[in-house]
Amino acid sequence: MSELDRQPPRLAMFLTALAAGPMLRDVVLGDLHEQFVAHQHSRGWFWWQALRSIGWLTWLQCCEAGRWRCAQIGLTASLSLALLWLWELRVAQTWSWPMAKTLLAWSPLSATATCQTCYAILYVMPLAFVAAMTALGGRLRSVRRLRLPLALLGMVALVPVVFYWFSPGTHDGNKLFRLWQAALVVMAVFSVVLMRSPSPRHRLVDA
Amino acid sequence: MGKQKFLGEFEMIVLAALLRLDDDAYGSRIIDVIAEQAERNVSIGALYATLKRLEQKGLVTVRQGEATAVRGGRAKRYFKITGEGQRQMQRSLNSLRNLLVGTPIGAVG
Repeated sequence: MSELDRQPPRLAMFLTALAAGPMLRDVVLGDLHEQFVAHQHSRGWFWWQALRSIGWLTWLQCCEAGRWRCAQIGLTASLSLALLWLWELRVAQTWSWPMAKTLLAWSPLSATATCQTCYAILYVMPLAFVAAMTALGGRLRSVRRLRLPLALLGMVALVPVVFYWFSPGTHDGNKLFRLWQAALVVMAVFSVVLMRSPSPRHRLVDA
Repeated sequence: MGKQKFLGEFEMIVLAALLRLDDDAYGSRIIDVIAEQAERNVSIGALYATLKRLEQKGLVTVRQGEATAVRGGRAKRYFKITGEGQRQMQRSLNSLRNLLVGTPIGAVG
């Protein structure tokens, strides 16, 4: 197999494309692909670059987008990170390296999970990220208008966390978490569909 | 004193890389030059965020480039420093030099 045939990890490419948006998707993936092939970097390198860039690219997209797109982008990016984490945890179940046990102990996928705070982190952090991205996207007026939907979203997200918080020792609620994760996936797909149209504010000076 | 635009350290580094690369300045090459010459490992996201800021300040222009196989068939985006960009850079370098005159670092420089 030649160097040109080497393919970077698909999930990392998907997440990078998601964060970069329609304006920068091709350029950023092209640059990463070129570095990956030209320097014969490992797949781990590509993952590291993707994770390092997601925040910056999301920020760039927010600066270009309108207020609702801004919220969608923040939501999608945060969901991507949450899903990525869940994915990694699922992978960790099959690994034998020492950190896998620690990861699994913190995972909602684990039947033996006991740490309610971890659930709070997993589900509340993305919402905090959405709020932060909305506020920092350069459109502070939009925060006022987004207060109600964000509050509603926050309350819905808190339901399973509160449920676990007040029922220590029982883990019958795992089904609820599975449903919640499915809802996250649906919301992520919905956001991706909404984000597909290019921003009208994008300008490019052609030579 | 009138209001002036000032360049950050990383903005200076990126502009210097654009000057060095001239007509061949696109994302991947810029990262390589910064890694080789400035010994800084830059993420692609940070680079594009800085280039966007420089473009908004009018210090950099952008043009679409060709697609190549090594990029998985994706197009390049070339960046070029403007005259104003070069003036800004010169001004920032002069300020730094003036500040260092009479200091141990200034004597070495």
